[in-house]
Amino acid sequence: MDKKLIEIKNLKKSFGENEIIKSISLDVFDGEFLTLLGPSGCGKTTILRILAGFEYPTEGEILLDGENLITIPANKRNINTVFQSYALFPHLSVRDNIGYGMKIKKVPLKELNERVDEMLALTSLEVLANRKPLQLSGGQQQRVAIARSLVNRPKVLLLDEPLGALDLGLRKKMQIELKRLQKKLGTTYIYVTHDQEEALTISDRIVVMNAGKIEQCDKAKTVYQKPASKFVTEFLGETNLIDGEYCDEENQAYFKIQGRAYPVEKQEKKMKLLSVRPENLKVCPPDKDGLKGQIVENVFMGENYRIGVQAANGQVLYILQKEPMNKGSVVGLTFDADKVSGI
Amino acid sequence: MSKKKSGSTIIVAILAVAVLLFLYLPIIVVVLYSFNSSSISSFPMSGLTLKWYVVMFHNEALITALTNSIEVAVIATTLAIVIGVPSAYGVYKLKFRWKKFLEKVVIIPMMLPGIITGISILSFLQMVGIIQGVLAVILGHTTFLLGTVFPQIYTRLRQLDRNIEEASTDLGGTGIQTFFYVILPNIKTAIIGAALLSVTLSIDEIPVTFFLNGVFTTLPIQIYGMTRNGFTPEINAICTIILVASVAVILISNKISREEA
Repeated sequence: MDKKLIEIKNLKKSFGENEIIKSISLDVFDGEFLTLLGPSGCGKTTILRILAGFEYPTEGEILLDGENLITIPANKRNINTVFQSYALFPHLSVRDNIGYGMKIKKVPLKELNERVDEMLALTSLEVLANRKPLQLSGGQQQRVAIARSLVNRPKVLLLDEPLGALDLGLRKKMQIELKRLQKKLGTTYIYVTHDQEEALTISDRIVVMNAGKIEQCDKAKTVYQKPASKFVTEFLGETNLIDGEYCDEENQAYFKIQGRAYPVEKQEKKMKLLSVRPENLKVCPPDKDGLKGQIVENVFMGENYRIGVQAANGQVLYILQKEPMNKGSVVGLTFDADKVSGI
Repeated sequence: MSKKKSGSTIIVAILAVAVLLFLYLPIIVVVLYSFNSSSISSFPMSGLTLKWYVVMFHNEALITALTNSIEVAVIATTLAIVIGVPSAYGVYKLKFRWKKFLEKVVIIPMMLPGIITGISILSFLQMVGIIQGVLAVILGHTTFLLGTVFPQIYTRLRQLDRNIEEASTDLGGTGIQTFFYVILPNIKTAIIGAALLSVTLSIDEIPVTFFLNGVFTTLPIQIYGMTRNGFTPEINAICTIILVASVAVILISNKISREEA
């Protein structure tokens, strides 16, 4: 897991005047599930297309297993792509779609058939082997697209928002399936999505991107709990950003909010904002040592109520509760020092 | 729904029948008279016979013109496909400045009056030293057929998911392999459709051919020549045969496009 498989160094890409990727450096480790997460237009798909060989970088270097990747043409790279539109060959059956790559590489027919059978079994597509892509549902087409790539045993599998067109239930199922296949085959996945929940569910590491730059690259849990920037905090789910002043004392650091000091973990740089996720803000009696506020709204969200609490300075903080609370009543809010992050 | 027909429905039905008769009655008459035993086109028919078909098959000039037409149609269609398919693929694949312009320019020969295409090809061929005759006719037909082949192939290409080409490359395919294994099978029906249409257009063509044929005759020109010496029943016979062949071609191309859908 610690072996570097891909090294991206100072990668830049411009389309005309438009600089899509602004000097990105990134290492991808062998066998990991890495997700590029960001809003549309942040350059994540462009990185994938450069890795696949469909685009050439304006500047920079990419090494695969220590060898220069950029000079190798797309059809000679040991990297396969799962396209957002699946891009199955409409005139070929499921079986022939999966066998296409091996047919091109002139793999002996016996081995080709064995490997296709193995992959059909692995993706539960055996009964559909002779169907044409148009006779399949979205989820089935998706599985064929994945099988068609994985059967070639690529070093890296690139997935460009592969679940984007599926409904929520199927998407959750496919997320588990993708992860299971990845564990089983040990293939390195580079996955592109703009869905933060999906990224958190399936990735080992997440690269959060914005406007052609990497905002943060870390383990999924760390990115969620310790976001490195305001952008990351806000992109990965809802959060409360609270103004205050950071003060560092010998054994303990504090964050002063409206004159009152709250203990926080020591920070490397002076934090200006405190980020608390709604599920980490706890309600306490108003006379206790905490932020005070008045309940201003209750919104039913299915499992929870999202409750707005207006603090003395006018800012509305959001908390999650199982039951709605009385509008107008005053409550106190606290948080644990290890459940917040500073920006 | 009520089964009672209202007045307006009846009027629409009558109009529809009238329009259909207007369109097809002349064709029906030609077919009927081709079996008429009298050589005078008059109704009622004096009896049924196949003799006009026999006369037709013994009319050497007519048979020569027919084989000439088929020869021109097959060669010109083949040339138009061989030139048109790769050029449509090239325009589809490449990005260049005049692409939008070229897309429109290429269908102009199809829309221009045949007389203009005919005269311009004639003056061009004379300039490069090709005299009127079979070669000139084939080149002329190829030119206007390109105008029908190119847009049909190009339209089909644009309906393809562009990613399937990238998918083929991604799976190791070279440009040539991608063209033959992925692109060609997916535009196959468009090619067959374009070829069938080209053959019928070519066999039917008069204005361009008229400028280019010299002493070489094609079927429509031969028939036209025959009508000037009076309308003989064997013309009805050859027209019936052309009609049957055309309907067959239409049915085949319909069947192919239905398979596609």
